[in-house]
Amino acid sequence: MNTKHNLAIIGVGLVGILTFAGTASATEPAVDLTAAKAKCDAAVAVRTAELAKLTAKAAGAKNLSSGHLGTINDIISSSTSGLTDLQIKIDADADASTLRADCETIATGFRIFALRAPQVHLAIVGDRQSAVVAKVGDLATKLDAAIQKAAANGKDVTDATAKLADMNAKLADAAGLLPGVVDNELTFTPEQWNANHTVLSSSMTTLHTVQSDLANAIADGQAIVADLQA
Amino acid sequence: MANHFSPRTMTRTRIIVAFAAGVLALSACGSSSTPLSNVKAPTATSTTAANSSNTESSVVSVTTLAGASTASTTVSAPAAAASVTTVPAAPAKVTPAPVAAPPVAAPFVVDPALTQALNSAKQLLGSNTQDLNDAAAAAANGG
Repeated sequence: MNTKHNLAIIGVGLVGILTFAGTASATEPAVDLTAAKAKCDAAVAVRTAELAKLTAKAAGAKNLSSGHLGTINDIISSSTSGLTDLQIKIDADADASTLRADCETIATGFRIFALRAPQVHLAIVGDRQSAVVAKVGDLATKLDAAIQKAAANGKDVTDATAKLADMNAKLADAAGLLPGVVDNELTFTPEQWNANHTVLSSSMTTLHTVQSDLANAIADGQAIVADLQA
Repeated sequence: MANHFSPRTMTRTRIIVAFAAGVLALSACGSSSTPLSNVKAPTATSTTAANSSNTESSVVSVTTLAGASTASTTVSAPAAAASVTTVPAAPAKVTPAPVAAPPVAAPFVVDPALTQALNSAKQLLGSNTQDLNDAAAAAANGG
């Protein structure tokens, strides 16, 4: 009997706990959806503004290839439309959990700052470097001719010749590194970035190396001119 | 006027006078400042006293005592003996062979357009710095 009595007490207790828990869940303070939606809308707005800046940036980049510009415009366009659609959905969200998920998607689904903006900047950098490679390569040819002419005039061109060799080596290194870098970095998606935050690191490192190569090549060219005119 | 002197006396006088003349003549020779041994024989052109002015080395003065037949010759100092000083010939001045100057290269002027193009390329490349910084900043931002 005692045993039955005890079991009855435990049962009543469990029911009480469950009842209390159910009551507590029901009485959770209602999320202020309006305020949350305002924050989400602001997050969308700052990204849309960034996309507009990137659009203008790409359009004004003289050395950006038409192919890369087209890819960038596609990315920006799809991102803009995706964010616009997402904002409409957010404004219609009726519960906090859906709103929270949608608001998180503003970042994770588009990665405007973490991925898209760097992609555009790197594409501009890479194509500009390609233009510099072509330009400095042409100058190296002219400098070679100038060195030959100076040598024919009795000028000691030992240093100038060495600098030209270094200049050409730097140019060759840059020209060898550049192909495909921009094409590749523009293919990364927000999903890939979410899985690996360093997807752009390799491209960025390569472009920094090319930047250094070209700066040194130009410095060589300027030193050659100084040597020849000394 | 009567001659008061006898021929013997005259003869004796002549002898005395002659003796006296001889003594005087000898005395004159002995007082010569120049030993006879030092007397240089006058040259042929100098036998004539006060001859031409270009015979200064051998002017001969002839002093003839009154009545004396002996001539005393005073010869001026002989011209300095020809002192032959052999002046060593100056060493031949060696003039180094002219060294050909290295050819001076004319100032070489690089086409200014080349310099300008290099500066332009540098400027173009430099504008990448901002984009690289923006890319890094955006990536660090996340979101």
